[in-house]
Amino acid sequence: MTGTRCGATIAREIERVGLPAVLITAIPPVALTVGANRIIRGVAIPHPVGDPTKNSVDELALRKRLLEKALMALTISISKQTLFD
Amino acid sequence: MDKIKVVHYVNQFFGHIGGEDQAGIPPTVIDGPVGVGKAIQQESGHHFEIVKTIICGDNYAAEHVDELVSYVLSLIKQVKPDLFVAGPAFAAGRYGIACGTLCKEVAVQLHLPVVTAMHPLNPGVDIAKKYVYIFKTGDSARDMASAITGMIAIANKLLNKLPIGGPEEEGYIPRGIRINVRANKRGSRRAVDMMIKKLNGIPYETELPIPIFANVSPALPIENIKEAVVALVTEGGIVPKGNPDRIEAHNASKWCHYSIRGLEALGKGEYEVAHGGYDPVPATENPNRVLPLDAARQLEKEGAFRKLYDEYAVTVGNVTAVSSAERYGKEIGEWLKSQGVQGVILTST
Repeated sequence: MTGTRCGATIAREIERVGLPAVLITAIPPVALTVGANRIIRGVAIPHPVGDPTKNSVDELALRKRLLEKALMALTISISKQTLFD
Repeated sequence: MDKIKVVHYVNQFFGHIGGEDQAGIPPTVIDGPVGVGKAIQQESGHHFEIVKTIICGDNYAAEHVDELVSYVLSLIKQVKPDLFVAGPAFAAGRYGIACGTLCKEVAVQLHLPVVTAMHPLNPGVDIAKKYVYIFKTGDSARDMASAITGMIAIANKLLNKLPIGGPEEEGYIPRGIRINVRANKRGSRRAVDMMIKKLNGIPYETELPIPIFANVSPALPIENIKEAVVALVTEGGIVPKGNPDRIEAHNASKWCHYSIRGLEALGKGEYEVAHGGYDPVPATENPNRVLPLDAARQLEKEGAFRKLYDEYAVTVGNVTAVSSAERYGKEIGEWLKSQGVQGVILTST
């Protein structure tokens, strides 16, 4: 939980500097509380962008889908905190 | 009943010496109470007798804190009071830092009962709250009456060695100390009761308050992602093998950046998990599960964006102080911006 508190704080402060920053985290409620603006729901706390139960091909495909979603989140104009589910 | 001998600390303003123009004056001591001190004596029913008042300028106190501390400690050793009172300082920062530091040092070094009062956001709070009771006040001297009564109530309990209740009940600033108490109802019952109240829109009191964080207006989006430079950042502690900069496993004191130029993926055995807050096995096996270099590289090749920035930034967010994380975020953001990066993908655990 403190990991995402830190990550969301970093994301928030990067946005304050004027760069869009998207946070991939398994705990979106914490990210919303802390103030991250662009949030993608990750897989799990120890592997937000991976899944050890999948074979390597499927896992890489999953990771690419998450990143595509993250790239999309960087291109969307938002007026408030948004969880791109 | 014997009178309680008190030494009182005030700044130049409450010591009736002057305003900001007198903020540089070094500490002086006078016999008896001044201003606020008179009110403290009166409110205590003249049970407290302020034998000495120490007055010091705010700037002097802030710039020469060590000298001020030794001045006050040596005076207290001479006078041998029963109690040390500082302030109230309300939201005045320099004054609060002086009150907090002095209370802490007098309590820790001389084991004397001490009390002060200030606003929760006063920087003096963080210095002293672990060591002493700080009665919670408003942000200005308009709250003087309540501050004085509150300090006296806490002082009387300390002097009489009476138990002091929780911060809400007694009005002091939470000290970050956990005490076991016996509740009437078991935890599950209390949680369900709270949930029912919450669902019905009835006020309830949480047992674990979550700090409120200030939001930031969203940054403008990337207009043309296909032309953009994107950077990867993580708080998940993925570092080159051996953790060359020794990022701490918890409450990291720094963030670092490492080159990923020409790398297609983070290789197993070449990177490790410096983070102490999650199971490191999956990311040790495949570090791309926390820092997604392999997938980012493929998307870059496919033209989803123009370029992945040549370095990634990393820290460890495990119980890391929010104030540190704020600083790292600002520094990382400013650095990436200066490098021509247009968007950031950050992962957290």
